[in-house]
Amino acid sequence: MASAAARSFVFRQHINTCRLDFASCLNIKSFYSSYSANPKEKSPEHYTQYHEVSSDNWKFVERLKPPTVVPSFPKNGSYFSDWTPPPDTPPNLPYFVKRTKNFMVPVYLNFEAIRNQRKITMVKHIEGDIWAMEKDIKSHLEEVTKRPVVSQVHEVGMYIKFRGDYALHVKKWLLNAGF
Amino acid sequence: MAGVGNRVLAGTDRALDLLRELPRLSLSNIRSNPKAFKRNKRGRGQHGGKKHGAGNKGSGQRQNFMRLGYETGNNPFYLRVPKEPYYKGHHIRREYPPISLMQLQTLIDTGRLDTSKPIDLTALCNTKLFQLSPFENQYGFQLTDEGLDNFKGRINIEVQYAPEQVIAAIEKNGGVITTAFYDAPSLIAMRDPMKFFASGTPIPKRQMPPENAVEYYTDPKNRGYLADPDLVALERFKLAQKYGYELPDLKKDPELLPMMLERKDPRQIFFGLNPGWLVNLKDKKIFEPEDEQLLEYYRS
Repeated sequence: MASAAARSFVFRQHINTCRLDFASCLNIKSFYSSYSANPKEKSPEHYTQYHEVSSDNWKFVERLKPPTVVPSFPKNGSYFSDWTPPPDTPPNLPYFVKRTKNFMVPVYLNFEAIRNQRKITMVKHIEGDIWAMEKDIKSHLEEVTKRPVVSQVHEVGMYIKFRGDYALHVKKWLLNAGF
Repeated sequence: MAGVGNRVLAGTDRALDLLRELPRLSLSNIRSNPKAFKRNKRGRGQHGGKKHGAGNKGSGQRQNFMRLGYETGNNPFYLRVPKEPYYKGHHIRREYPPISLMQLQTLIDTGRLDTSKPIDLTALCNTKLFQLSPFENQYGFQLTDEGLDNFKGRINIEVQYAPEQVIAAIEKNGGVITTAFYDAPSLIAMRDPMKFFASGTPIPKRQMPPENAVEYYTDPKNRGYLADPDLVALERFKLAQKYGYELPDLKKDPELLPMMLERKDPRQIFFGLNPGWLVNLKDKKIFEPEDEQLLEYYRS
């Protein structure tokens, strides 16, 4: 037993010396997944030299700049989409609907209530007699769709909601009314 | 005797004083009424001990349930039906968010797009009305044919996908359309160029389309950016014949002609700016590298 223990001790020592020799001659350093010990920036001669390009090319950079404000629409009078510009004078009605910052009619189709099942048409930015406007639009929708229309008026929030998808009808009505 | 100053407190005042000192009633220190809740206990023996909803014998009582889908020796349903992989590879498919011709016409009408310059992905993203997320496999915009009859814009547009009728609608008005591929790093630079320039990295070189997109972008019928320009001109004429309209001559309008003929290099992502260039927004200067290897890499 004693001789076996002595043999294993000698063997272990032998392995240790071998390991030491191996490490000292190769000097291996392992960083695993971290490169934090590496220098972050090398000296300038490792990088390419740059020279300036003619300033005539700067106009191409200017072209890529997005506008900082919403650009105003061209007033040439030719509009081919279903959009029309807001009129200069408001229509002679007891209510008024303001356009959005993008010059669009503020009519939205929202999906509300449980699991976004219920379609709600919303008209926003209504100033003046909101009840008169609700009556007008509602009678128009009932005439067009031939079914009762449920609506909700929020006087303080300045909006009207209609249950159902009437966004296109309401948009058309507002544009025809001159908003 | 308790008192404030010289005043002798009455019973109610003393009670209110005490109340002021006592802790407030809150959710943390109230308890429910006695017998408000009944604890469900499994009674044993004479106290209701019988089956407790587990049924008589078997898997109900012993919980030795079979694995899901196992039909006690039958060929199970999930193996009986052959596989129909409709959505195979959906996570690596390229996605092109749609923009309709009606939307494009509205953008032109409302002054969001400048038709006196070529319209590319950057111009569409700069309207801030369309978002593109290259991280969700979105590789640019496609034009759809909604509002095709009302489209009247005369434009030089570059999109990533367009069907035949859309190409016809644009060319009928004397416009030019190109379909072009951009790789994801280029798209990240293009969707917000100012942010990209501010990051201080050189303009990337546009990579060639992947193998399954090469055919589309080299086809003159799709007005691909890698197609032969002569064949594209021929296809423009053929499409006009097919749809029965007279192809407007681009050379008749010498003012618009240089804009209409403006096209990007297959390795270029911004008009007039070459890959490898560095843009300094603060000093309004553009720099070009001098290293031979770098120049060789960025050369198209």
